[in-house]
Amino acid sequence: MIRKFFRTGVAFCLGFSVLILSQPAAANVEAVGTPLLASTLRQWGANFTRESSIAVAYTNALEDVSTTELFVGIYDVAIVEYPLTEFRVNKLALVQFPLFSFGVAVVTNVPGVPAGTLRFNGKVLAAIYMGQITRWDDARIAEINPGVKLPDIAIVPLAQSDGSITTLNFTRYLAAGSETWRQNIGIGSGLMWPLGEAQKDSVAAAQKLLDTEGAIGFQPAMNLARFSLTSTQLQNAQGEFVSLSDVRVGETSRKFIARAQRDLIAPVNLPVSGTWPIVSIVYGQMKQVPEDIPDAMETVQFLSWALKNPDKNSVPPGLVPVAYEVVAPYLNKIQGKKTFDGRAVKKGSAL
Amino acid sequence: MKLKSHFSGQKLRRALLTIVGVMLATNAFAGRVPTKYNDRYQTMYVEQELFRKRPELLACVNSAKEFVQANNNSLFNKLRFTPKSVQTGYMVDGVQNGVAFEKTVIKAEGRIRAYSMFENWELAIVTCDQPLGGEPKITLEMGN
Repeated sequence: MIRKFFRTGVAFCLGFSVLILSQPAAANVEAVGTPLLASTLRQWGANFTRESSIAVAYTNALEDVSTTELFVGIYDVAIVEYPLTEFRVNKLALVQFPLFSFGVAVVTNVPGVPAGTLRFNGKVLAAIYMGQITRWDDARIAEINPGVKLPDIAIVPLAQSDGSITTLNFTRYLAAGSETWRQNIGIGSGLMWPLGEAQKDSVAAAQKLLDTEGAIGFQPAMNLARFSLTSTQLQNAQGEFVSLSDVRVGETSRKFIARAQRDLIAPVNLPVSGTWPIVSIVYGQMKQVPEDIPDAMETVQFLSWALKNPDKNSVPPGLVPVAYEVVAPYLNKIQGKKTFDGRAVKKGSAL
Repeated sequence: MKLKSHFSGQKLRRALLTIVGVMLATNAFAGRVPTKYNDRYQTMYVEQELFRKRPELLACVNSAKEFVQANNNSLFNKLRFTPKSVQTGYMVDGVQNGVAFEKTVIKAEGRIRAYSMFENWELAIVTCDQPLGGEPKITLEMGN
């Protein structure tokens, strides 16, 4: 009788073990955030899992939902385009750190005029988007494009209503260049555009631009290669007309992050020579004192590994990861300690 | 064993009819009760969805809600945000005393006389002055 009972017990334990081991492992690093970076972070996550056996999952979510769900402990890290204010970061006891930057490009479809040769500034772009400049051969465009033969065709300004940081920072550039725009239209990620309805998002705007002769629009730099577009030159705060490149965007964001002055909210019109005038930074957010410390430390490991190994973790052209040295001080603020189950977790440890 | 019922069929019918009556009355008078918009957890998600395309406006709404919690300003409980609030909201930036700031303006609707039997929603303007690194200053103008 005892032997039978013992056999049944062993069989039950073995069956239970098999059942547990056959379950797919739940993700250790659970990230939530902007769809803009979903494919890049999922690829990085797959690379990290191969190296470390730590699973990484990324869920798309709205901006503030990401922060809320991080705050209530559903996710380990939130990736947001629109950063929280310093006041709110402190209030929610979060750590917010820059992760990626990308330039915002002004693109055109003007027959016979390569986009790379065209030059714009905030004042002229604002006048175009307010309907004050309606033809490509307008004297105000010609003035900043000496030597370029501009055709006598109508300008078709393409706007977006997608609620993105691209739109927000583009309107910052217009507001900085035109007092009329600043006073009457303002800054926003989904404005009521003066010339009517806007395209749904940057992809729809890029397709419309390719199909429309005389069109002008703005795009995140990641879309340029995807749609075979070329950025025009833009005038920065120093009055220089500069071309868009990943190196220039990386340098601009580095200078903005290192900047001690408190007179600039976003990396738009940074008063430094050689910088690209419209840059957007995507931020990561984590809790200073996470509930699930092992998962939070694995998230720190994942981000550290990814940023330390750029050769193993590719990014699409136009997207520039922030250097690990910039992010490390923020990651080290996240509290790590011995957990309830006795796992020793080092503070900010990396692979 | 036979269970002895405490309710007769007539009593049960009467109780059910009372419940249905109360539910119908609650539904009919729903528009006349004071609006309690900002203190419900679910409302937060509704607003997040409403302001999906304007994260900068949502930041102001969040600041306003925190201001309410800190100051017990009951006026904010009489606010509601509509799709028009999303379309007409705007932000301006500038520099004051060497510190950058952003001012967000949202046009909402508010009910001052919340117990009135009429739907008397009036224009309410929420303004958030957010200096870089500082505490936001929230103001609400209603019924002007």
